[in-house]
Amino acid sequence: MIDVQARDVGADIAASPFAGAVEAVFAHACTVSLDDGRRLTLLAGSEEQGMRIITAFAGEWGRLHPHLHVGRRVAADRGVLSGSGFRIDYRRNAALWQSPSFPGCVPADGWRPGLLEAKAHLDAAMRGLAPEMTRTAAYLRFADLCRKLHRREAADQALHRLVGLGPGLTPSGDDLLCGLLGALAAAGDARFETVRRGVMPHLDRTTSASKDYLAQACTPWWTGLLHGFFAAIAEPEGDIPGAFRRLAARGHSSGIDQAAGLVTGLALAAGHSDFIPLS
Amino acid sequence: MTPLVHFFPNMYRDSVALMQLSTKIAQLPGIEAASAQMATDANIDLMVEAGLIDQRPAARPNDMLLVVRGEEASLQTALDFAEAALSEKAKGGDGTVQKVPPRAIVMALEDEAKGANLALISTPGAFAAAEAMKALKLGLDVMIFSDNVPVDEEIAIKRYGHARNLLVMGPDCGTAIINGVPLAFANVVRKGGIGVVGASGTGLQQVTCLIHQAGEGVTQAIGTGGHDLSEAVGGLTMLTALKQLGGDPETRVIVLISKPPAKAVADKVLAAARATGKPVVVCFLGAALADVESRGFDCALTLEEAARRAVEALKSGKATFRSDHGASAELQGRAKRLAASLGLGRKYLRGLYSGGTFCYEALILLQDVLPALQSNTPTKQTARMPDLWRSSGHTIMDLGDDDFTRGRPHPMIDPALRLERISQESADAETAIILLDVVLGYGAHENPASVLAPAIEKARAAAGGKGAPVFVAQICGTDADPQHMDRQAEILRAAGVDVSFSNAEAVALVRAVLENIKG
Repeated sequence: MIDVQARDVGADIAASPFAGAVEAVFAHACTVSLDDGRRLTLLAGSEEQGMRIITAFAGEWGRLHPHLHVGRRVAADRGVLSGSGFRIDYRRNAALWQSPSFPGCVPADGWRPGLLEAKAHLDAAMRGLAPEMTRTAAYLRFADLCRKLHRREAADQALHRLVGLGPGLTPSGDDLLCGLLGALAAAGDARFETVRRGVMPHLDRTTSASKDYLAQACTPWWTGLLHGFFAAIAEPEGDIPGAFRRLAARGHSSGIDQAAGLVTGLALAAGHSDFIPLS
Repeated sequence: MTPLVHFFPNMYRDSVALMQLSTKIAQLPGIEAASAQMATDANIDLMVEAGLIDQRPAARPNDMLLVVRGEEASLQTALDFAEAALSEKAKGGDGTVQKVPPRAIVMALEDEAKGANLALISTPGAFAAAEAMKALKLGLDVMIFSDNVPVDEEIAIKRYGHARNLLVMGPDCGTAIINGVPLAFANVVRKGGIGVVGASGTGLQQVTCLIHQAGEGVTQAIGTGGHDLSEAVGGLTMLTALKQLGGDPETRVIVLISKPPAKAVADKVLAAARATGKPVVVCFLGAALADVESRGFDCALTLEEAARRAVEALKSGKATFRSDHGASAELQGRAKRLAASLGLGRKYLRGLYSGGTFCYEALILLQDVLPALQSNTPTKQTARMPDLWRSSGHTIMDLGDDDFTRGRPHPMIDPALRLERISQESADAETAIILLDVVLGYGAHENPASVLAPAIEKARAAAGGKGAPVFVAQICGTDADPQHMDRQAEILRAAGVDVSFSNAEAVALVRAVLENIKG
């Protein structure tokens, strides 16, 4: 039996008992499907935080990973998640992460100064990415979605083709949508509901880990890195380069894709038709 | 040319690794193209659309899909190459270290909060004690805003803190002023010579505000949380606070605020108070005067008395003030005017409080003269309301109690529930007086009078204008609060509200109006 210490735990992961089964195991992540129909994600070596994420220290993950097998039962009681051969303590010394609130309105300046700076960092980062067929397709379809957000049926069709599209554990289409959902929720924009309703029926079309992120974005909840980037854009003296660097370090292109979705969504909500990045 | 379509169940490598794999396979002899992707529906659809594969494979989104086109003899070599590459252990990062935002108390202390000596903890209750213990172990005082912390955990962290002379304010502590900084729900109060310790948030707010209004100030206002003086917890935070205030040369007078504690706890607390060697005003709301005075302490019967007597003790060493507003000719005049304006048949009090201690104090002050008094938080001498959503007879409610705040913000923040109730109570033909508290300061609504005043005017008009119920409000705040006490009073007075600046005075006015109606 190995004991693993969690570094961060999302506030929605109850301290009360729950049980479930390992649904999928990846190199640095694992999803657990709970008996109550919900899901949680175990992550390692990532700066990410989320309401339904437990993040272990990278060093701990190496010991834990061999014990994670698809279909094996896990159970949690009093802040300890136990499975065959392991225990993860997410209560005693783990930092608790609570999704910050969404402002629900567009400020008078429409975030314009922050968005212009963020877009410059985004453009530079995107130029550095190697071309990849599914990712390119995801960006084209996302742009198509942004043009159709005011038409419910058309938006639904675009979302059907976008969810799960792209390379990686969290496909680019999903990451773009996470950013877009965060932006529309932050702006209190009614199009949030169009996207949320369009995404929810398609969650099973993507990977387990990505499904979790999308479901959390639909709640809506922020994840830590995405909120950090939004806050830097929204604050007058926000550290936009630092927040973007941290977000962009998430996965290969996931962070950049989320940033692109957020910047596009904020620009859309604020009506900056002169520089909506992906439309 | 038939492509090789192979999926690896539940397999993931990051997209860089997959792109590298695709490139390397494509460079193998006899291979034309290769693609490794997660097998999501959208990715498969795209591969079909692009002509990479002819039909959908039976893969699931968590599987990794490998598609290779080339000479048939080379496809098996490509698959072997892929399997060997994917079985390699995932490599680590590039070894660079980036600055990360603090995610734990210890991280914050190393960087952004260097030199901090207090941690304010606001988490779901199940996690609060663990976070508090981390802070205490780092030598920090702690304020726990969270509620629903198990009592055994509260005891454990308080014992730890008490043994090291560290404060554990809370759990469920909503008010404190530490070194002049208002924390959570607290008012802007000048610095001075009075230290206040209280088990009640609005009690602390009332006392500190009235001290400020009387021209004095506070050194510290320390909240203990509502359970601190229970027998189980034994007043551990109050004992620590008294020790700290006793050793603070700037604190010249101390005020204690609480409901009457269990005798054993009261004995310990009063012994600690005596050990400070400083004048101590004790306000055990609801306790008999003789019980406290017989132990040699100055006893305050109301929050107002606690504040005013502390100021007197500081200035002259002799406390004489009593909340005897009923004897004031000015207050009797106000009561007569209000009673005379009421329509026939209006005879009952409806108290709509947002502050729990204000509600409790009003019940204590009126329970002897209104025997049929009801509340959602009754005292031993008053009755529980049979229906929380419909008042009858004389009723005083704490709208900040759990009964009314499940799933919605506290009425000090969001006045919606109280506005609804104002309309409902005004429409009752038997309502004579609607009694309100208006709490200002940090955490509270940014301009409560501006939302109360139109609702009151509308309710009065709907109730018939002349003859409608009268409104009595007490404002708990200071002229330095963001909402500014005097501006709030002006707005309320313009809406026809009788405004007081202490709960005891407002309750005395209510009592006098009711006596005038009877008369």
